[in-house]
Amino acid sequence: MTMNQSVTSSENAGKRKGQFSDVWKRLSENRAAMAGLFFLIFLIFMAVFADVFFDYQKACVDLNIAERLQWPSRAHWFGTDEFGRDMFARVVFGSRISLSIGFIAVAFGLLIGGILGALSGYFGGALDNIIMRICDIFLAVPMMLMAIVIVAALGTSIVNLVIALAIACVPIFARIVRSAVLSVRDSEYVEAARAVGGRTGHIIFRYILPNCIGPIIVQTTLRIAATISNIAALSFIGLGVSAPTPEWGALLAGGRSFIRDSSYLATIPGIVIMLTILALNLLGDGLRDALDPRLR
Amino acid sequence: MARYIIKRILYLIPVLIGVTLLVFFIMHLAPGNAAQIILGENATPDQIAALEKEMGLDQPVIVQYLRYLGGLLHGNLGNSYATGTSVTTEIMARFPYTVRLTFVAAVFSIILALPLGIIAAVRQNTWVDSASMVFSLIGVSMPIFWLALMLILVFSLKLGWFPVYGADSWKSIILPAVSLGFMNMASIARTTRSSMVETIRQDYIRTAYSKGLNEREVIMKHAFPNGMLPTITVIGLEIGQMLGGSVLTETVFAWPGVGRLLIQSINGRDTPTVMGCIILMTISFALVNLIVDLLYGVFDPRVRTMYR
Amino acid sequence: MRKNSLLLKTVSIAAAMIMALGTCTFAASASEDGGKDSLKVALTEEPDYLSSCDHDSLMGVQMNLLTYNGLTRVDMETLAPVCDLAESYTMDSDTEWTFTLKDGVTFHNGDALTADDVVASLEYAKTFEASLTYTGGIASVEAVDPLTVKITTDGPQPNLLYDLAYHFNMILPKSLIDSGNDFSANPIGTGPYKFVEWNKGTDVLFEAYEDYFDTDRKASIKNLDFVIIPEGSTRDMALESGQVDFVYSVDSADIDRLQNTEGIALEQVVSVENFFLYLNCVSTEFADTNLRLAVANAINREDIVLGALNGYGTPSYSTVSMGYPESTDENGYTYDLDKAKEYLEAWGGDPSTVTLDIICSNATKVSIATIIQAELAQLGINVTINEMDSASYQAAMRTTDLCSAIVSWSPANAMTYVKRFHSDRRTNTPACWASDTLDEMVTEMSVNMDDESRAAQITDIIKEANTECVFVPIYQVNYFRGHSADLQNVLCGATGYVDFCTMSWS
Repeated sequence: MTMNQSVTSSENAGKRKGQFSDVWKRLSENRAAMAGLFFLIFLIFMAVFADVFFDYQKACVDLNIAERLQWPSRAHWFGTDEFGRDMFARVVFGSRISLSIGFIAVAFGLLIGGILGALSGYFGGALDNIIMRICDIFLAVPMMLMAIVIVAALGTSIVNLVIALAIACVPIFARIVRSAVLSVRDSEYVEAARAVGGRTGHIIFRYILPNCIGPIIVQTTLRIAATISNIAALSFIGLGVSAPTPEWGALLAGGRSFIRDSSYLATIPGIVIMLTILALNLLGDGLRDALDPRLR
Repeated sequence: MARYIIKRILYLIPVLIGVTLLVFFIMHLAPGNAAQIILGENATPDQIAALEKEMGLDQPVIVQYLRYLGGLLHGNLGNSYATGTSVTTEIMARFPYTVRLTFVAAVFSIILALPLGIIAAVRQNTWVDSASMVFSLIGVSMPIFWLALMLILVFSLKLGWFPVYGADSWKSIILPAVSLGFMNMASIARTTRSSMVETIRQDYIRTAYSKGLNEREVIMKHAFPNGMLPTITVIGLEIGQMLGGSVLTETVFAWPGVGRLLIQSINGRDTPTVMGCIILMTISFALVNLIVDLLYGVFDPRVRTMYR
Repeated sequence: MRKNSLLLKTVSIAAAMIMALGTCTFAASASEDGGKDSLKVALTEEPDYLSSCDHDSLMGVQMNLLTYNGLTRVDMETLAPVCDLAESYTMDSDTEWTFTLKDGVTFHNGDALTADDVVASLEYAKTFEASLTYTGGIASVEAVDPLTVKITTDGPQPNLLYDLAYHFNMILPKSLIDSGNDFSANPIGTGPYKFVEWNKGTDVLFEAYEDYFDTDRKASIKNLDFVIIPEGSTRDMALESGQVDFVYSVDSADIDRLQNTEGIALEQVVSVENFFLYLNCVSTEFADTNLRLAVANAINREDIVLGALNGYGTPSYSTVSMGYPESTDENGYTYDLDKAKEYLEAWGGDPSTVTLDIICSNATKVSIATIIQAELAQLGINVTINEMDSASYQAAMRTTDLCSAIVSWSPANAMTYVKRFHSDRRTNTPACWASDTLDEMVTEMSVNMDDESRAAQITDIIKEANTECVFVPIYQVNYFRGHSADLQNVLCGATGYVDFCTMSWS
């Protein structure tokens, strides 16, 4: 009996390994997706090593009013803001905040949504009904509006922003995981695992979740992109991150009154946000194509 | 079909009640005292307590909610804390503007996205494919208010083609609709592309080709109507995105819609108006999706037969 | 084939709907043309009410000034009260005033103004709790004859002429008060402009009142159209493109360019509105005067004006704005780090244990706080910034937990201003500074009916307030109103209002 189980799982693992190298091969042939991936790796590198290049206190807190609103130059690659702070340093530190909020919010959304979706799909019945109806309610409110209401009610802070954006992701992940679970729940190897008395949690994590990893990865990249763009939107209406934290959306929103004479102030963070979202979307789309070769 | 429609409509009711419950309790978490907001900074604690009693704010949240729900069933969304007038009146004065903006934005994004998606599918895996997909993604990547300000700068101020703000002529809807619709182009184009790619591989399309029809005819007459179905669903979902995005577009262009009212009332902690705006937008979104589902039934015989 | 026709139908329906939308909106735009007898004004926000008693907001009062008059009004140039609906007044004793009304004044509904309307209006205003600061001093009002009103105050009220000019005390027709008229939907008064229409979210329209009683101040521009454009850049671009004629508040980032734009004129007014750093003097370390003085002398106000306002503001070194006849900056502050450190020493605590959490309700306040944060770092004081919506901000101001806030205020006169230093203000701002010395001085001043000695008392109060450092003044706002250069006689008051009666097109 035990032998049977281990054979199934190792077969499964082998199949998965082969799958991943196939996916990677297909992905690496997609130039747009690879460009997105490299850009993201570059961004993450900059975010992690920001302290090596710049001094946070100097770049983000100290002011130098005499050098305010300077256009990009060799001394200040992205120019200076209305307080004379170097915009390049602020954008680099901003990547840390923006990417972390994006990643953390989506990770929480994925975790909670994933658990709910897995429970819902695996057990079915009344539990499934309750969870899915609650998801319907959350999905019925346009995501951006939901985030606005939550932040407005809880107050503006990074933590509340993460909560609001995570909640917006939960039902989406719950649905994806649920349908993936449904598709394999009654498959032979899950039946087998159940037959040998595997614990439910073990079965879900060992056999079921790995099978929906594809759509989850795709959706995760796309959600991070959407989350970053939502933070920018929330900043615009004053529900984003407070100064002087150099979050991208806050930089963009803060530059908007200078859009006529110092247009770089809004344009540079705008372009950085755009490239990041573009990169995430290209990667997400590339992954989707790589995981579902039928379409290519 | 009638049974299907009724079933869909009945299903909406619990969802909408759930939405009101959800939004009501979230708004209830907000700090700040409604009576205080209405009475202003000179009010004494006694006056505040008296008004709270009058408004029923001293009662348990659940009682307040049930009263709200009761009012909602009669189309009464309560009175605005800021202006004292009926929220229903305030919102209905602005709603047509939001509908108009969202509609034109949707039309704009469809007009742009369908050709992009179809061309990408037909020229699959060529540079045309990648270029049109990247182009459509740029739309979703661009921060919407930044795009809006840039559009005003170029098309209103530099070129003088469109008004800077307002809603008083057909010209004034163009820029807000473009900035709003641009955002949704990507997913519509993408869905069109993938469903067209799938459709093109079907046997009957091959048959059509073999009959000697040219590519244009095959694509437009045979592949396109069938490939449209998933696209319709996505358009319905994107309307929700646009309702959310209208909050930004309406602020930048001073468009007198519900989105701007929402921001205004969030700043003033005008809870009844916030609730009203969210509920109205949610209902609109739900209705759009209902229509989409019904259209789906019309287009797809399989759905029709299922509920005959 | 069938599918195709369905598709065709869908597309043609969509096309027809767009056409319909196009035509119905096009018709509206075609009508606007002809000679310039109208003015389009861009406001930053929509007024909540057009009635006089339901609100206390800048935009609301600006609208009230169009449709209503008080017995007196505050002259926009001198900030002194002058007669408006009153022809003249006499002070019979410290508590008794007699006002004679102008003859032949009519309301927009045709009613003639009589003493009964005045009695009814002032009594109506008292029924609004929020108005008590401005109506509370009036004990009784009686009509002596159709054109004479006698007002009795409870105790000497040197502020009465200002209070009567306040919007709560504007005069409404008795007949409409009695019939329960909604003055926000139907604002009938005696004012220079008649209300025409309010399209919620879009615009508010007024037209000149032909029978206005004051011929010197009769409106010369026939139609006023107030549109609401919340976004600053959009507002300024609308002015530049000629889509609006007047912008109520020009974004400071656009001032330089608009000043050099042909066809556009900018009015600059150094206002009496001052921004200050409010400190909790009850439950934080800032209860210590030396610590407040250290902060007051450690802030480079020039930098704040440059960084947060693009150079368009006036640094303020006294707790009461300069610009009132009684103003003084004696015992005021400077930017002097050494002096600040001396005060810090006198306080004796460890600055690194102090956290100053500043709440802000808009982007400008956040900018100010950002600079304060950098400057107080030089003293070793840690500053955090907390941005919130205006309603939460107002709620926070009423608590004793509040640490600090950026606050702005612009009362019409210095007397109202210094009354803020009395401890009875603690009902509204419970954490504000209060001292027996100031209480005594304010109480004594507020019953002094002699203008000259009262002015001297006010100046003394300001000096004392500076010594005690009741809060930390930062700057006085410069108002910038932008308009088409063809618009003449634009009068903008230092308290924030614009006089639309005097304007005319060249």
